Amino acid sequence: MGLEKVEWPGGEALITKSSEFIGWARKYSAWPMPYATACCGIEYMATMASHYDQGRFGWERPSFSPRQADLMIVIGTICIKMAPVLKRIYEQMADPRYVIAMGACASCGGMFDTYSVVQGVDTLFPVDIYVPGCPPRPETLILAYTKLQEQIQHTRLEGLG
Amino acid sequence: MLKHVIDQAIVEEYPGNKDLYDLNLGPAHPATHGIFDNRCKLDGERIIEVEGHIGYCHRSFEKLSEHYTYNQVITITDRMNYVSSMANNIGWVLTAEKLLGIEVPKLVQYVRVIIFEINRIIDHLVCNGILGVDAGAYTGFLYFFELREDIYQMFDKMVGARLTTNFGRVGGLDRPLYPDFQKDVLAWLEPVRKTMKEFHILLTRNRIFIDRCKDVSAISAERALEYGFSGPNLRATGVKYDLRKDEPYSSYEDFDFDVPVGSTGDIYDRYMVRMIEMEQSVRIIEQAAKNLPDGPHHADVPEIYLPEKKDVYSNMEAMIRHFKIIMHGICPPEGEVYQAVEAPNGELGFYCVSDGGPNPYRLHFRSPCLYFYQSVEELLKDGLIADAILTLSSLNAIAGELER
Amino acid sequence: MSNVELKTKLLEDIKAQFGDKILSAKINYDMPQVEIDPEIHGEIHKWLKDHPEWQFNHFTDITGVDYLGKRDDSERFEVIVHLHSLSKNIRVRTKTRTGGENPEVQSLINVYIGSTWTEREVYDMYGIKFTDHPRMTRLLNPDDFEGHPLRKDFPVKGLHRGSFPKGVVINNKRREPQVTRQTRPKPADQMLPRTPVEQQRAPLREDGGDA
Repeated sequence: MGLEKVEWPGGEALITKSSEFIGWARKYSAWPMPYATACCGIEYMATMASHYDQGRFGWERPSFSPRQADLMIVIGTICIKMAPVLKRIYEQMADPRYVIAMGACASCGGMFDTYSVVQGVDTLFPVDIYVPGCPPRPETLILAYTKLQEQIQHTRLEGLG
Repeated sequence: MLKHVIDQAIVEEYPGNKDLYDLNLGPAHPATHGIFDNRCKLDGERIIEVEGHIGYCHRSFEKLSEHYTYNQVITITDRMNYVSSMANNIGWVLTAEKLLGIEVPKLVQYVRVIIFEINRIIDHLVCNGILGVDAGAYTGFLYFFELREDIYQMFDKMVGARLTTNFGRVGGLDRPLYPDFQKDVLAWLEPVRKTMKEFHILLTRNRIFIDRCKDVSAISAERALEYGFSGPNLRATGVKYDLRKDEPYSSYEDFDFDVPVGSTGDIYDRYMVRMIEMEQSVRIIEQAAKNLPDGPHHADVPEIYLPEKKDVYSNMEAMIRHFKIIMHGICPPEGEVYQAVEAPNGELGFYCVSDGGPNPYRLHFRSPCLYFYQSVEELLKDGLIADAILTLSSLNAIAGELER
Repeated sequence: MSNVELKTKLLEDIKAQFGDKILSAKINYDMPQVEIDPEIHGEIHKWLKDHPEWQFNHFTDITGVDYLGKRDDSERFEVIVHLHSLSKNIRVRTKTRTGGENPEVQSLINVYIGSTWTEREVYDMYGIKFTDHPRMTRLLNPDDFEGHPLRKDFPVKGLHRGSFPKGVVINNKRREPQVTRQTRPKPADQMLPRTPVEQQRAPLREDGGDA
């Protein structure tokens, strides 16, 4: 955020662009919805628990309902039986919404190149961040968080400059 | 058709309550763990009828493993019960060794026992921690996960991965033990004991927790056996069936431990059986780690176990063997074998048919979860919706293993 | 009685009871194994369960194997049941052959309630129908799934790659990468006036967008 100090009657003021300011505020207030289906869910739990503590990065409140969330973390393999359910959950989230595909299976199908597995959730809806690994280590997931925060900060919303 | 029959039956049985409420407890319900779909019919808070649907995490392990070599299947077993992946690795490796007729050295057997019991502890930690979360006690989960984090760091040193460990090879361990293994294992036991004590104080004598769990979703021993229950869920009903005692594998007969049993098979019994099993696992680990024998880390089977890397570069025979194992795979004799191990969730069986080729002709995983999870239709019936959540998490069904 | 003797006695008992309906009986890798005539599939398991001495009351496993190309088409499938006796602590495996256009085997649901879902799984994977089963539908795959995956002639990647159940709209376009998204050029009249500092700074990109 480009802050600028300017002279102001009675003292100094900091000015910035409204879009940047709004982006800065939105960056730390995402409500993630962990959608854990398989192995990566255990690593997500490790990220959530006391050692890695994702709350430090402004993701304190995991929302388990899509209607109160604006970020979906798809954690684990998505099977064709699950695909319609996942699609509907995505549609229930309010705009602007973001998606992190955590792990190889969610990103591209991973080692399960089979009849029952969706080859990447980007065949269902757009994905913002792909997290590699099978499963990704908590550090990788935290890196993905910070990358997405950067992205959220620089996204301009309609009507807000 | 069937739905119509059930609807009709319910209307006849509850003539006053024609407006039963349909609730889909899953596959993406916020209160459940794992992606199972339980379609409930509710009369107020009471569940009248449940229809279980699974298959939302069906990843076709059995089909894939027909195209993998015997050592590659280890990667699949990692992802079956991902809470305790090394236990599955060991189960499969034992099956392949039974098929090939390999006897592994004592050191390997002891290390496998240690790893198996560590996995039992961390699996039960998650199950009981989550059971606490569902009953409204979030704190225990944070205590327990700290222990898991410690052991993950040890796994990291040992095999280079945290969760999908890919531990062991057919014929031995995948690499020699790292120097401080024994010390690390023994040092880990102290915090386990301490945390268990704290957890007992938090939950075991907690009046609210007992009231939530006592006499909820109880099942009789006879019925449980007919369903094919195994592991802690079966022992909670009072049946003393533990493969570590009944069909000892990997030198389990060398260790002194007790098998806890419950009496009623309700949630509290399952919880207590798991808690006591953890204490017994600590005993086993202590005995095994203190008496860790010396010896090679693999059996002397050059046509099955990969030679050391430095030999591959300097010794022609070793290079040929390396090439043959990598390119042709291991070819066991024709036959079929069933090997069961006492995985944290119960009897994890591997039924393998070999036609003499490098891939299993047919590999069936007998997952303990499938057998006890099919009883939810009976267990949840006539219970309260709040109890249903506790029942599901106390059974500890893991989607990856249940649906394979 | 030693373990091997016990297993041999079990096989002899089974043979004495069912006679020529037992096609073969042997100990296969320390597991007593009997191949049975499909007619007695229900009967033998009930007998094993209710037998006062053996008491195979612990239902262990039911699965199938497809021997396509290795056997006649009329008996290409094998249904395999594993049972365990708690009192004697031994196991037994039974094998039943089936095949043809509509493979069928008797259901064990009246003997072991645990076969409710597992028989559905075998049906799902092999297309073997279990008669007298009240809910013979697919267990793991979606109801409109085509084919039976564990048959040897079913490809690993499925018959219709990339097809989804009804009602799922497939996303054909990927989200634009992050860089183009931030720096998407805007018409000049929609641009915000530049702050004094920004006016001094050269634009980071030629199209005038912000970094």
